[in-house]
Amino acid sequence: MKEKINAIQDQLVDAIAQRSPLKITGGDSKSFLGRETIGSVVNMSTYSGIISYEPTELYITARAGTLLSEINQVLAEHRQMLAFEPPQINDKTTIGGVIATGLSGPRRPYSGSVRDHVLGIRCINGLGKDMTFGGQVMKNVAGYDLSRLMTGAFGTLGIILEISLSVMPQPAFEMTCRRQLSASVALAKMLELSRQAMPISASCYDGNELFIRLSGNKKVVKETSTIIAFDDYEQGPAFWNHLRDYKMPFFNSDTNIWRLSVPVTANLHCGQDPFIIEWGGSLYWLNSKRPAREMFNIAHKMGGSAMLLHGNVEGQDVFHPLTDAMLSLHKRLKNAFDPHGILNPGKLYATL
Amino acid sequence: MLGVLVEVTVKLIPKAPFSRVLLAAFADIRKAGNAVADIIAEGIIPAGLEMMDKASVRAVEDFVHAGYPTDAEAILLCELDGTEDEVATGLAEVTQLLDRCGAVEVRVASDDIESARFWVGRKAAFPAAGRIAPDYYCMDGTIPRKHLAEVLAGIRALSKKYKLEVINVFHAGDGNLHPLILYDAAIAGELERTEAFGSEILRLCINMGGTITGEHGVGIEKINEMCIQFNNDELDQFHAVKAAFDAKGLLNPGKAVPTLNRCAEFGAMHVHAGENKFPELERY
Repeated sequence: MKEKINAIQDQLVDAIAQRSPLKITGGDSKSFLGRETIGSVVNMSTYSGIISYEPTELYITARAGTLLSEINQVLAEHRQMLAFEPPQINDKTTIGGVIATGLSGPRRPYSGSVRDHVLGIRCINGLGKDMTFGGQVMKNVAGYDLSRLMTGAFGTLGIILEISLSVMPQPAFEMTCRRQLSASVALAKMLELSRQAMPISASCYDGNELFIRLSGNKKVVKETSTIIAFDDYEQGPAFWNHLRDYKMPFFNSDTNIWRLSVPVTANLHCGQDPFIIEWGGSLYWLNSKRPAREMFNIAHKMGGSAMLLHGNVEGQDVFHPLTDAMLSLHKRLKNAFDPHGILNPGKLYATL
Repeated sequence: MLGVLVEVTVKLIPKAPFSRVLLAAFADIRKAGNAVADIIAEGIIPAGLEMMDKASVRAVEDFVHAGYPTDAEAILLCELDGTEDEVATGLAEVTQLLDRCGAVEVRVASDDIESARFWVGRKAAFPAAGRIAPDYYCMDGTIPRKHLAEVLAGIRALSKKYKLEVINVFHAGDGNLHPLILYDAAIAGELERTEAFGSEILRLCINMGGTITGEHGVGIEKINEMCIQFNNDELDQFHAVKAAFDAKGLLNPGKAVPTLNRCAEFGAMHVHAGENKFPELERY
C-alpha cells in the first residue's frame, strides 16, 4: 500500500511541475455531484481495505477505496453501524467518496452528520505532503480540526487516504409508521414530534404520507408508536434505503433535483414542483425547472442553502453561491492546502 | 486563533424524561477498565460513564462525604437516561454485567437525591485536589480505553520518578483521562518537575495511540507536546490555515500551534500514529 501512496505523491509532483490538474475518483458512484472537473485521474478505488476496527472502542479505520458495503457488513456483524446512514448509490460506493461529498442519510438530524462522526483523516495535500489529522479516539482537540474540514470538500483540499470514523450500536428494535396528511399538517406534526424526547430516527413526507421511523428499546418504540397513532408500515426498511440512496421514483427524473437545507420552521412553499421533505422539516428535495438563482434565493431567504443533486444548470453554480467575503476565505483556504490549484479544480466553485 | 466569535448557534435536543446513576466498586482497576469495554460492547451508550481511582475517591470522600467505598481500587459511575422503563431495564442489564466483570459492589441510586449524591463526589474531584495540595496541574490526554490499565500503571511509575502525588479521574466512556498532579509552587523546582511529569504523561498518551488533549485544548501549556503529536508538515499546514483566516497573525499569536523553531528547541522525538521508535525499550 506504501507503493500506492508513493505513486500518488509522484503523480502530484508531476502535476505540480506541469501545472496540470488532477481529478480524484473512487467508485465514481457520485460523479453526478458537483461541477465538472478535468484532469489526470487519481483512482483511489485500489487503495482499499479496513485497517482496524475495534467494536468496544467504537471506531473503524479504513482506506479511502474501501467499499461502503464492506464496511456496513463488517459493522453489522458486530451489531454496529455508521449512524449518519450514508447513501449507498451502487455497489461501487467507497468510504472515501462518502467523506469527500459529506452526504448523510435519513438518520442525520437524529444521530449526527458525516462530519460529526469523522475522528481522523490521513491525506495528501496539493504539495504532496502525507499528513494525519485527528485520530481514533472519541475526543481530540489538539490542532485545528482539519479532518472535519476535509469532509464535504469534494477533494479540493487534499486526497483522502484513510479515514477513522466513530461507530454506534444498531438499535435493538426499529419500526416505521405512516399516515396520510396534508403538507402543512405533516410539517407541524414533524416539528411537534421532534420537540419531544421520542426515539425518532427518520422522518419523511412524500407529498401524500408522513413516514416516521422509530428506533431503540422495543417497549419504548412500541409505546411511542401508540402515542403517535399512525399505521404500521411493514416496508419501512426498503423505504428508508430507497430514500437514502436516491432510488425513489421522485429522483429518477430528467428535471433538476435540488436539495434545500433550511431551518425546521421554514415551511417552504413548493408551488407546483414535486417535493419530498425529510429531517423533521429541514431538508427539501425539489424536482424543479426553475432557474438555479431562484432555488438559491428561496433557501437563502430562510437562512439555509441549496445545492443541485443532479441535473443541468449550464455552467452556473451547483452549490450555494458564497458571499464575496466567504468566497475569498474559501480561496485562501484552498491556497493553504493546494497553492498550485491541482486538486479537483472547479469541482466546488468555478474559481476554487 | 482563527477569528473572534461574536455569536453562536447550537442545536438543542429534548431532555430525557428520566435518568438514574449507579456506582460500582472494583478491587482491580484493570477489571474496571474491562467493564467499561463490556458495557459498550453490549450496545449500551450511557449518558455518563466516569471512573475514579482510589486516590481521587479518598480525596473527595474526605471533602464531600459522598459515601464512596474508600477501600476500592477504582469506582465507576454509570448514568443511563430515557424513559423510566428503559432506564430500569438498562440498569438491570448493566448491574448483571458489572457483577460478571468482577465488581465487588454495585449500588443503584434509589432516587434523584441519591443520584445527585453519587455525582457530587465526581464533580468535587478538582476542588478536592485543591484541598489536599496547594496546587494541582490537570492533564487532559485521551487514550483508547483498552490501554487504561497500562496508562495508569505508567502514571504511577512516573509519580514515583518525579516524587509527586497524582490522583486520576477519567471520562471512561470517551477514554479521556484527567490526572491531577499535586504540587506546591512555593517549593523551588516543583512546578518545573510537575510540568515535566505532565509532559511525560502526554507522551505516554500519544504512544498509546491517543492525543494530548481531549477537551481542554492547547494554549501555552501543552504547546511543546504538539511537536510530538504532529510532524513538521502537519504543523506547517496548521500555520497555513491560520494565515488563511488571520493573514497578519493578530489573533492570539504564539498559542495553540508551535512554530517549527520552537519544536526544534524542544527537541521533540516525533511519534507518528503510535509507532514508536525502539518499541522494545521500556519507557516509564
